[in-house]
Amino acid sequence: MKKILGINCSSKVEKVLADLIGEKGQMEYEPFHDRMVLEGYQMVVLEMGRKEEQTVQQIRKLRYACNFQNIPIVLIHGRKKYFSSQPYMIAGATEVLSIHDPSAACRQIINGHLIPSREPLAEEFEYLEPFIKNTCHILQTMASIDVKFKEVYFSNAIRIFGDVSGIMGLSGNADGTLVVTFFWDLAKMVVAKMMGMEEENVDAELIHDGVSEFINMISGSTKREFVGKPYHFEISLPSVVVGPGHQIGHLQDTSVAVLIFQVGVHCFALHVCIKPKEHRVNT
Amino acid sequence: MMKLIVADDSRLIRGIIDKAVASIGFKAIQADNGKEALSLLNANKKDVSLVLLDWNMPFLNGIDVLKNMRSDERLKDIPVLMISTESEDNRIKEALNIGAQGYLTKPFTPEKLIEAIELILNSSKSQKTTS
Amino acid sequence: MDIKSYILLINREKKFLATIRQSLLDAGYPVLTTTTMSHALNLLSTNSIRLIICDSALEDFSGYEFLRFLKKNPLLEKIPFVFYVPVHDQGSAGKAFELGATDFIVYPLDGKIFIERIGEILSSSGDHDRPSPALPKENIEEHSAEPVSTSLPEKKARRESERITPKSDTHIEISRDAILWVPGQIMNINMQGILIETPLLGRLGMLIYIRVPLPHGKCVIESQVKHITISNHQLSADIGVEIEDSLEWTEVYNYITGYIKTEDKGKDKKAASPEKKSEPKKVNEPQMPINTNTVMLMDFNKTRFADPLLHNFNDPQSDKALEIRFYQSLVGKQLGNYKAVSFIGAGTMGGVFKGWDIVLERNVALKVISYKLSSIASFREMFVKEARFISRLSHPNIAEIYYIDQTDDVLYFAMELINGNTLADMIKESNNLNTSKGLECFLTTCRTLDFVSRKNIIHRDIKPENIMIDDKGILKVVDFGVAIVNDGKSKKRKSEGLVGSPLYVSPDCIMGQPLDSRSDIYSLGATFYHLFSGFPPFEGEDMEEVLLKHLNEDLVPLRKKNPTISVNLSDIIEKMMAKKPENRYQSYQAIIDDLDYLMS
Repeated sequence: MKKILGINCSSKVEKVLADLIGEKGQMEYEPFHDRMVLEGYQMVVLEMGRKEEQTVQQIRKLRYACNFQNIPIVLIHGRKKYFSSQPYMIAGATEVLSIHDPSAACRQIINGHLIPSREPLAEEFEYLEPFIKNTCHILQTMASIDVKFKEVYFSNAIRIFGDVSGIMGLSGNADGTLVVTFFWDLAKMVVAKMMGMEEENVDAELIHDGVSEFINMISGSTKREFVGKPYHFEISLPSVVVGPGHQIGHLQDTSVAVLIFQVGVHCFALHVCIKPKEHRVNT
Repeated sequence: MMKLIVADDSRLIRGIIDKAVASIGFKAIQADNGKEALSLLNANKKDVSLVLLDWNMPFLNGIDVLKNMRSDERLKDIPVLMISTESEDNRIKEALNIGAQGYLTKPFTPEKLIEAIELILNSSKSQKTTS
Repeated sequence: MDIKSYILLINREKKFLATIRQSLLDAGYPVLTTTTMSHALNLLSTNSIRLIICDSALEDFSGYEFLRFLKKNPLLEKIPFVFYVPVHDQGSAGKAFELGATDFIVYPLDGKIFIERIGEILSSSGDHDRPSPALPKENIEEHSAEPVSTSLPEKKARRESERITPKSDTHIEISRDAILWVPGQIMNINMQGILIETPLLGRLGMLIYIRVPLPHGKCVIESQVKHITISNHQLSADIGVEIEDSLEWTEVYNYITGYIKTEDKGKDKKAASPEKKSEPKKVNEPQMPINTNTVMLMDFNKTRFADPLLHNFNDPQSDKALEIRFYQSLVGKQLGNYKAVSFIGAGTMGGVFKGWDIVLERNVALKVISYKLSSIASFREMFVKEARFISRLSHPNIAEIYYIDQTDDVLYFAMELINGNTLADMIKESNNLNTSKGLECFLTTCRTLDFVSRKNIIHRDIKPENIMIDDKGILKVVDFGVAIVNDGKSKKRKSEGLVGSPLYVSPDCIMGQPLDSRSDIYSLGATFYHLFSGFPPFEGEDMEEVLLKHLNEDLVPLRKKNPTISVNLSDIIEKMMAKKPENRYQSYQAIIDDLDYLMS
């Protein structure tokens, strides 16, 4: 049975959810609070509050509580007038559904998000494994930090829900994008260890720099392992993106593997989107 | 204090290198791009004993700095250690062929860096004594 | 005091420079002015400077960069350095102090108070010399580095072009390498460049690509970072980029400024009639003989051009958006024995994924039927019963359907994954296909559909997108997802409505009549009309217009659109596209015979 957490849901929305989810999931309800624990839930449904800013903050906190795990956050509302769902998506909502949307569509969309993620294919592991190995190796070498690879899931877009990200565009035999995303605390800790200095002496600029260099090293050390393979790529200069919720341009018809790494209680994510140049397929 | 120039667009890497080379008695003059590296090199050419170059840098990349140095009569004898994430064999060969004395791939530990620097300095010393 | 000890004033805006300079001169301070850091350095090397007043953004570098440079230079580091910042940018003052600035002055500021502040700063920094009011002004004038002339040079005219600030989010994308794009929001724009709020961190002097969605496609322009304001290192920054004159930039500039100016008007309209705007289009109005009950199923090639600068992809009113969101929810999931690896695209009737068969370990194309169709009970029934029958079609020119099923209420089928191009790609690339190759495709498609029709199957969605040439050069008809069996019983079944793409749909289908293979013949004619001429047979502003033309408007003969086409071929297509099924070819064999004759 799939566990779904409903947050701040009115009785009206509870009724709608009961109808949409039916026997597929087990609903639990809770009001929003600052220390929400989302471990063990397959989906979170939040009812939209009146104030945009407050709802955005709540989504942001829920996204942090997910700690990069792929828990869909569905925002549900009863508004009839048009409004932009972008602020909510940027904050971390997976879906914004209206109770007035056709229920067939809502049911299918919720359904789709409840289907468990797939395991990587062998051919995907072929290019993911070097990234996993090198990411761990770099932090071990440069910062003496032990990193554990936790899990991988696939997404159709690169959406960043961390505080700071290093990104690298790939070209050459294979096109693609690599993005490493941290929350501020872990980024600071990693940079401090790399530099051998106290965390309070690490300034923001140094963190930006560190994250940029980290993605640079991940890309550079991994591309060597693809020499002679279709995944071999070239790199250019890394970029740094700050703030949460940004959708980054990525390739069409390619899924994005999100690798989650664990450092103590903290996590960070590496998005790998890579595609050997080849023919198109039937649409 | 002996001087070396470190050119890397990452302040973090420059910081790590600065710390490491200080432990063996070097002062690192820092440049964050290739152009700046060249001008610092020209200004300090008399007392710089080594140049550490990143490959990918804005304005002028490390390989182009190296090419410039090797074609410049006054700079061509200053040893160069490339430090880069570019780690394929053909890249390393390319840099060595153009005239780098060593190549260190990122990620590296401070020990590795010091080892690489000492190797270059010792061999250039022995070359000077033999010539 | 050295009579030639100057205040050095640096600012990008010449008009601004002139005003401040004048008030300082009036107060008796000798002044030098410039707009760039490089020129300021020249002035510093040749003049004695007692105070520097500098803007945070200069023409070539930022004021911070300048200050940082000065603080490294033992000869210059002692000169008091004052930042002159706009009132909304006080956040940067902190950074200035960190770097060693003496003070900062916020503008706009009353001239008198400004002069007083300068006096204070000079005295507190140990420069106790009062200005000498007796100083002849002419004497100072000749040292002015940038004399204020009355005639504006061209460059200056450009710099002072109107700075336009959009009222709402105006989105563009920016990139360092033109590979990876990050969103940006235009804060203001003038002919010299754009101020963008963006999460992408840049460095001064860095080359940045800017991608702007224009109505006819995306345009990429190059720019250089000239200014950066970071107020919080964990949030987006403002970067000012300079863009050189070019045709593309002029076009983009005109588009964005035109867009910004009309945007407000558009907003007002929306506000005036919000109900009209937000209500989904009523589709049941019986004003014309169009079977419109499920018109929303169709994707129309000419999607309404809705402000590409605004990302309204999540418009909750759009059924298309709901469809796409449904497909997106399946990425990275597993349906039965098939993994949905990546989303390829949304077609008329469903979304296609690149899939993987975990049992047979092979690539497949996975087609998920749109929720709209799959929630129609009669369609579900048909899909499960008939599609299985259809899936047994075995022909070298038909993409094989491997399996049809439903998982968690999701209807899908797995079919042969074909690497290659569709006829739609070919139309895009070459406008029309060279005729002998085109004829060959035409003939093969007819033979394939002849085989299909002999099994009493109607494809219902013949269009350029559904005819592919694989990488071995073999033609494949794909996507039998909405095909039906016509064994005489189909009249009993309630129609699912209009199925197919409006550009190629037959009049009989539009009117909801029972269909037979002659409907496919019409769509096939329309498909090859498009291929041979480069234009679809009927075009219009919206879907209804196109559908009405299929019903009522005479077809422009193919030969008129492409005179290199033979009369015979033009006639064949015209006959295939007759409005009434009885006036069309009655079988594929008849078309094949005519084509054979034509080719011999």
